[in-house]
Amino acid sequence: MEIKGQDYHVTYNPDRALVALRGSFELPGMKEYAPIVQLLNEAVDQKPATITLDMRAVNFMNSSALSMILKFGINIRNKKASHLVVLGTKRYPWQSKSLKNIKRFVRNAELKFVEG
Amino acid sequence: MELLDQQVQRELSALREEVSTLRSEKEDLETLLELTTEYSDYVAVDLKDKVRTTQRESEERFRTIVETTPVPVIISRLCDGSIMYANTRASSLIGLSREALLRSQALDFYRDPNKRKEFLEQLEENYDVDDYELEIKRIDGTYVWVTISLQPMTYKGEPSLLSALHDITERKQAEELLADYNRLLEQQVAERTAELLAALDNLKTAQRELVEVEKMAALGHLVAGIAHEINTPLGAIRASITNMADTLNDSIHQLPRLFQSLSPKLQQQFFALLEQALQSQQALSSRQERRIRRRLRKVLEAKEIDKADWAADTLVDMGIYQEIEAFMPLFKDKESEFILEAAYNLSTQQKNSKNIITAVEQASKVVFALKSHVHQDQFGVMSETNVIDGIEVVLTLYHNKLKQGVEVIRTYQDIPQLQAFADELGQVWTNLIHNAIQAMKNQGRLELVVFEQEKYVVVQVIDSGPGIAEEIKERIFEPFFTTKPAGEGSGLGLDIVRKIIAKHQGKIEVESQPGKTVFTVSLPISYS
Repeated sequence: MEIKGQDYHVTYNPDRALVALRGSFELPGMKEYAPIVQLLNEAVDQKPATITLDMRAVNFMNSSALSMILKFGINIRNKKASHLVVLGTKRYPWQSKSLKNIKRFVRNAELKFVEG
Repeated sequence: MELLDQQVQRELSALREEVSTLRSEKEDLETLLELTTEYSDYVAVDLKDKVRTTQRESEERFRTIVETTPVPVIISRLCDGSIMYANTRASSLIGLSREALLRSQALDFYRDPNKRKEFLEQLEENYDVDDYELEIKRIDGTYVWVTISLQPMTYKGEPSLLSALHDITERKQAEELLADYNRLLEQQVAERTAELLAALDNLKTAQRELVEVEKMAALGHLVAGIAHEINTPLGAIRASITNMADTLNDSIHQLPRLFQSLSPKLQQQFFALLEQALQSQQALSSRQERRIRRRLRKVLEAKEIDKADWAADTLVDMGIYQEIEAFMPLFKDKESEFILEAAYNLSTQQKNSKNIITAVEQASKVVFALKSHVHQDQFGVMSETNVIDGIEVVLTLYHNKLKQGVEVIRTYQDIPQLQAFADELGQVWTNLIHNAIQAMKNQGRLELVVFEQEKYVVVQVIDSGPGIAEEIKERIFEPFFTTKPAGEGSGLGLDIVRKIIAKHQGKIEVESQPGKTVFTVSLPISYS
């Protein structure tokens, strides 16, 4: 399953329970992100043992996008079914700053930051 | 009761659960809000930083370009002209340090401050200000010519004006130098023109003088000729008068006795004798005279006339050569000697009187010819002229010279009158006839032919002289060209002739062989 926008690309591989985000997320407001929200919800609904969120190729995210990711975290916590692994990169300093906030909702989420 | 309790308990329990859930969700939302706004702030700061960096880099790039380019550049605020930026070149052009420039206004450096306002107006109307020439004021007070190009831009966030200058001092100097040179050149040209005009004037004067000299020389010839022409009749007159004086005295004494002794019949014969003597025109050679003398003597002797010898001589002297029969009674008269002598004296006087009249007429003709030859053309006006008359005048003037050995042959056809400068044409005939006579050395044949051909009157002066060499023929009309030795003649004669003929829109040609030289002058009958 995938969603393609002008500057971004989202894919969901149900077999591997992997959601990958790529590009720049600058959509104005939550309403615009609805399709991606739906995709994320679907992934959570599958209740896989581990859900992996790959953000390594995201170069920019606005606050609505962050909100969306954090709600994704809330969803996972509430479902109490899956373990969350988040992949990020040190290339974009904002990732290490903001992605760790997922832990505010998903206490035992695993955050892995690769170099470059 | 219990049922109600249980229900209430159940409901309370449900409500408690809901509240708990709501509380939990509220916490989630608060956390979410906190995190997302924090993130927003962070992103904002991050973006601002990036913008600043980009701006700075951009400005650095700009500065590098403007510093490196060899063009004085100043950026000033659009609103008041205060200078925000100046590169090194601008600084050295104006003579102020960059720091000082940053404290100054662009207007300070315009020689004509109004120009800036004009430029702004022009830019507002979307016209370019490009390569505009104006003067900039340096800090030392001097002015420098530049071309200015203006470009509105935003600098450090403010609407500003970028001015690029180009020092055109050298070009202006070159322009001024060129202008100076031009003025100098014009001045020199004017001076030279004045010099040339003066020189031309001098040349013209010299030319006029030379022509006058030539005219005087020609006049001199003429005067010499005239003197001779007039002296001749004067000589004839003197001789005649002398003769008459001699014989008049005798006649006075003879007359009374004569008419006493002559009968009417004899008187008649006497007058008849005189008449015949007067009529006699012939000029005889001495041999002819001798023969006639002998014959008359014989006739007289045959008639037994006394002193037949003397009588014959006297008769011949009187010019009576024949038909003397009628006068026998006179010869037979006893006073015949006296009568014959008286007759001789009287006839001599008559003849001499006639000679005087002829000589006077001749002199008058010469004077008239002279007058008509040198009569000044009034105010250079043309008059009706008969070319033949003009030629005849000249022939009259040269009459005695011609008589010495030149045979003159005239072939004149009827020709119309011409509008001409009679004087000047006279000079032409004089010149040509004079040259012809000289060429022939006063011996030979001079032919004058006049006829009409198409629209021209043609005059030919033909002499039998030795001719003109082929190589000289081209040059004879050249001013100052002469074949005469130095000092004799200016060589302007034919040049003047040619000019006069040209003035009449005519032409002159020459053909020459040894023994026959022909000058042909053609004059148009009417002028354009």
